[in-house]
Amino acid sequence: MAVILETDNLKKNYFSKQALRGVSLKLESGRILGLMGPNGSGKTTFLKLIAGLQKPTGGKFTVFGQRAGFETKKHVSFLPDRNTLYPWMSSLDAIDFYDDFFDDFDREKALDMLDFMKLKKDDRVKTMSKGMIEKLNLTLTFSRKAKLFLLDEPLGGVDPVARERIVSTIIKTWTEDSAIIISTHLVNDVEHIFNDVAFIGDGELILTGDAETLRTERGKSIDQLYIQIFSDK
Amino acid sequence: MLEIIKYQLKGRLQAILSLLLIIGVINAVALVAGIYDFAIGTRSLTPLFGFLIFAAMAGTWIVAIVMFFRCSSGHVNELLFKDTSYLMLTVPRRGWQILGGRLVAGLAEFLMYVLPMLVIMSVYAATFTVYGTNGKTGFFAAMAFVYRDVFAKNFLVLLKLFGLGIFMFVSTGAFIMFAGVAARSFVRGKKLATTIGIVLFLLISDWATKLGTWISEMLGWYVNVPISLATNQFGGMKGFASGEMSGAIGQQFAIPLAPFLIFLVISAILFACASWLMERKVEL
Amino acid sequence: MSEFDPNIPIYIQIMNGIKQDIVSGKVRPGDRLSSVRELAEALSVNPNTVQRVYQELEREGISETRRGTGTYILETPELIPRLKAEMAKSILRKFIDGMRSLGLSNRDIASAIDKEIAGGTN
Repeated sequence: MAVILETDNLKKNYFSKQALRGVSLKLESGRILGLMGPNGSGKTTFLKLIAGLQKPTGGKFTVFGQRAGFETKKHVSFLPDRNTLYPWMSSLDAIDFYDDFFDDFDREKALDMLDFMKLKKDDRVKTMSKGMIEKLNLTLTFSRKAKLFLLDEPLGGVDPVARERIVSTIIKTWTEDSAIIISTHLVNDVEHIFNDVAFIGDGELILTGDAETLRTERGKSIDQLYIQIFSDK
Repeated sequence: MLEIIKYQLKGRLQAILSLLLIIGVINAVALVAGIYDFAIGTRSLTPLFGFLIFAAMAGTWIVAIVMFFRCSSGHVNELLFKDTSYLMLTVPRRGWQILGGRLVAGLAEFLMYVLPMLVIMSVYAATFTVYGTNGKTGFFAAMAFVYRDVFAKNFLVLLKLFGLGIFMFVSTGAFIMFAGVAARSFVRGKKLATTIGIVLFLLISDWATKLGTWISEMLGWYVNVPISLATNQFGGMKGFASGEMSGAIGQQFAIPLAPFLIFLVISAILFACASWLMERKVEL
Repeated sequence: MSEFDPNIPIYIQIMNGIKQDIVSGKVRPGDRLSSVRELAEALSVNPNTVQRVYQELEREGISETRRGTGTYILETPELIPRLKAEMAKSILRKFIDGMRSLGLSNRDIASAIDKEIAGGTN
């Protein structure tokens, strides 16, 4: 079991607040980690740091053994919570873009997934609905054979049918030698695909562990645990 | 870097076509007025035609100047301040590839504006020549004159000027990119970062020019550039807006060399710094 | 997705589901089970969980995994009777514990069973 991600006391401060106060965790290959917490708890900040969109103010992390930087971007596939594709692009343009920029991009898979998501090649981003854009982004993110997938709230703002498709896609993409981190506060829909869970609040990890173990030890579903932990925050 | 250029140009396509359309239309309007004038027998510049030409040229030149600054910086404002820049920050490409690619794409874009402009200016020059000789010169003969005597005869000089233009384009770009990236690296607010960027750009340009001039005065490095413009073949370009121009223009320009070298070095340093900052410091 | 009981490990619940299918005849000895990925997708669970299920089934002598082809239910003749007995025992155990917690004695339990089987619906 290779270690895909290891963070050591990762910190991030902004002028007005401390978004992350020292997060240390380890994620092994073949595992799916659920990162859960309320809005503003630091989930997105954490993912952005790993993706390279932000730089830590303290601590460090390695991806697949490599120190954060240019090299790690090759191994990390990030799905943000907003649209980042250029409005002028069509689905096919977006696929071409990923194909050109990422060596690990699987074009065939992307075209297949486009069909699976019921998207057309010529649709332009500026005419797509929010749900369609999210499906396109998901297609692009998952057509890469990355070592680490970071999904920031992949289920928000999507109808239940699409949510099922997304969960399906996540399971389809899972491999033994990659790892996936899913940040969400819609715990109910996805808790059974998590191997590991991490509850984060106010920039700190409150509870981490194996999902199955926690469930049996405490006799609660992860959803119920979430409510228990965050109900008075 | 090639992919960066490709997608940058693809993204700008709409904007480029729109601008070319605008330039085309305003100049076409002016020219149509001129042709109409000529067709009804006018042999000197009417106020209306003159005004239209002035307006069209002004519009065209404004576009050119604004685009000079935006294209040279590779539209760095779009790179640093929009959600779509997430993509650029997550692709495995070095800072110099991103900035360099955008600079090259910017140059290609700018040339797409400049070349039509040259054609339009030639057409105007030919038109004035036709008027200047009271219609004795045919339009196409006038165009031939423009290309032969203005462009072909001074080809080497124009080439040097072109090189100079490229140099200025790249330098300006490096300065603006650095100012933008530096401001964004250290300042969170978009408005504040933009303002600081502009101030930074002006300060650095001023400082660099002063340094260059001082050094060249110290060392006395100058280059003489001869420029000649033989225009007496058709009795001068009379009727040019107002007044007349003399038959031949021949001049020697003494250009201090050191500022250019200083600018070159500074531009290279600023570009390197901007690239490093892009990779290590810029956050979204 | 939310059909899983939070108090019992998911892999056990899936295993019970598969054993149920074997006993009821939906899955026959010799049949090939879905691939890890297919089952994980169908149930919306982590593939690791399904892997564990298949490992445990193999350990209990119910299935075997052949490299490259998949996981197959063993064709041992005693398999179905054995499973029936195990599952019945587990249901009985729960039942008896439940009845005992109501305070009923062994005789009460036995007569309650008789009454229910005789007069109750099948």
